[in-house]
Amino acid sequence: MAPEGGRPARGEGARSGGLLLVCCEGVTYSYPGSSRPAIDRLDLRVSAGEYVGVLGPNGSGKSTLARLLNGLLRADSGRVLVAGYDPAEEPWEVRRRLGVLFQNPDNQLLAPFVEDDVAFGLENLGVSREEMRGRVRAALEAVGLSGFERREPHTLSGGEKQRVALAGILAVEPEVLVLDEPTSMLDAAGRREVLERISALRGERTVVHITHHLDEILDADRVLILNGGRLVAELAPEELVREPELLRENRLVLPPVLRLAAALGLGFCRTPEELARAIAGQRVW
Amino acid sequence: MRLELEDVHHVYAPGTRFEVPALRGVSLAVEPGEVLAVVGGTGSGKSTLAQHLNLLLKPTRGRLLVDGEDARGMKLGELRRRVGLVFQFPEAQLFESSVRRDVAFAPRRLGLGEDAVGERVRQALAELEISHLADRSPFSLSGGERRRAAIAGVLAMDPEVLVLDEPTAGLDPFARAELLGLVRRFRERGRSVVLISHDLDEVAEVADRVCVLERGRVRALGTPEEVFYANPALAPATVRVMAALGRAEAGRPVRFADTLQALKELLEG
Ligand SMILES: Nc1ncnc2c1ncn2[C@@H]1O[C@H](COP(=O)(O)OP(=O)(O)OP(=O)(O)O)[C@@H](O)[C@H]1O
Ligand SMILES: Nc1ncnc2c1ncn2[C@@H]1O[C@H](COP(=O)(O)OP(=O)(O)OP(=O)(O)O)[C@@H](O)[C@H]1O
Ligand SMILES: [Mg+2]
Ligand SMILES: [Mg+2]
Repeated sequence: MAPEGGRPARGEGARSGGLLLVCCEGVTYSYPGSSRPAIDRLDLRVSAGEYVGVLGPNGSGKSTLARLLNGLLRADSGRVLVAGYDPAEEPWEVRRRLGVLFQNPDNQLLAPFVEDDVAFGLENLGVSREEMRGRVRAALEAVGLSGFERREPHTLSGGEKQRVALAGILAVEPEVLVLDEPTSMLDAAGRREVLERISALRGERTVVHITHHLDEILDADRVLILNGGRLVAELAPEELVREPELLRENRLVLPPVLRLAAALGLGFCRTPEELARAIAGQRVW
Repeated sequence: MRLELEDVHHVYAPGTRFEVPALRGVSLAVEPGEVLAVVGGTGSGKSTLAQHLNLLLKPTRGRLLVDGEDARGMKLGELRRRVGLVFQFPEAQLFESSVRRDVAFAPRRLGLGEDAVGERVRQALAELEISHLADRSPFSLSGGERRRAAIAGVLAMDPEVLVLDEPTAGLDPFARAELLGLVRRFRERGRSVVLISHDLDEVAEVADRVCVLERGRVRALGTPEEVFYANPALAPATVRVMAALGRAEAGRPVRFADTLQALKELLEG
């Protein structure tokens, strides 16, 4: 929960309560020494409460976008606004409102103990020690790591690291959560738990969910596809199944349930159970 | 090459407050020419197991056998050349100033001539579709690009057993499919692959056998059909569809193509 600052809203990137929370206009960014922009004339708008999925091939600029949104990188040209603030100018204002779960949990865990890592984001929010302790405990419990408070992050398994990183952002619950492949190291059950936790934030929080697993964002309000730093498509998840060409061009493959449904001439099915029902409905045994 | 873990136990930080029994009596063999998938929940011991296959970690108890002989009798360098391990976090094995140099590191250490080294590097980069990244620093790559570079580095060593710890995490769907192709080609040459993966759908496509770890113990070990149909809650999408349908006459397909075929027959039948 972002505290109310005394800043006036600026431009169209209205503050919380307003509609537009994240706004990129003609944003271009090239890494130093690189001849090709990693983000190329990107226009993007995300409104408060939206759940947006982001897909795209390896190297298409997804993580770069996340870094631009939290002010780790500064756009070469164009404009980025988060809740009315330019992340490169006022990173701390932005980071109180927008939290990024970075792709590699290994680079993200820096504190000596798990509990310090989870508390890190809270420290800048002026939360009391007592409340902090409570929130850390609750966040660790939410990711199934109760009792890991005093473990050293570098001794954790891959999935444990990813869960700790996730607990860090859940403890803060910022207005906007940017999740860069949040389940890449989790098993199926863990993935489901995390996805449920994310969808529980729906409407209350704004979520930008980057992933290579199309099935994770079938419930999103909107799906964006990046390729070569450009936004090449923006569509509803159900529309993906009708766009084989678009999928191919962007190195995307439908998850098995959707591929089976398509090959059998059945409609849009999200889960194996839904597909089984659709098949059973085709036939009277 | 046949690898065998014999009643392997591994305890991290023994004698401290944070002692973790990560493996608790694991016995299994990796047969020549097979793809053995290792699956299991967070912290179940998969990465710990992987690192025992080339003795990067030493068993607290139990042993590793290579073609029936205790691996402690082998030179470690030799073992690690023949058993190539790709870590769960690729950062752990990338260190050179360019991707090309990184991939060349292992073949160069084998004492190959520069031409042979160059050829291996070229092949490995092409196989992982990262030839265009050869001169980049491994640390300036995207997540998926970096993982491919790490895999190329181990491939260039031309190991007899390839141990891949979550190799498809962070790969885009095409790259994921291509990696499965690479695994199949490796098997066709009579070599074996240990594939650790959270993605049961991909395990379904390539595994000859599946080992399920649970809290440091082998909970199940068998063909994909045996393992997945015994517990459809922890199975790939194909098996979950078949289980939800509950039509025994459709058989027990696991792979996508077989499942599609079975479902078609069921609908037409
Ligand atoms: N630190 C860096 N220095 C130079 N180039 C970089 C750096 N980080 C990323 N790049 C390049 O910028 C492009 C976009 O990278 P980015 O990490 O945003 O991709 P991504 O879409 O997140 O990919 P992935 O799916 O593999 O995580 C890629 O071509 C990558 O090689
Ligand atoms: N260096 C270490 N010191 C102490 N404990 C460790 C260390 N490495 C791993 N562990 C613990 O050992 C257990 C097994 O870890 P391992 O990394 O083998 O799990 P995993 O099955 O690979 O999990 P994941 O799917 O999350 O990668 C975990 O509980 C982990 O916390
Ligand atoms: Mg990325
Ligand atoms: Mg692991």
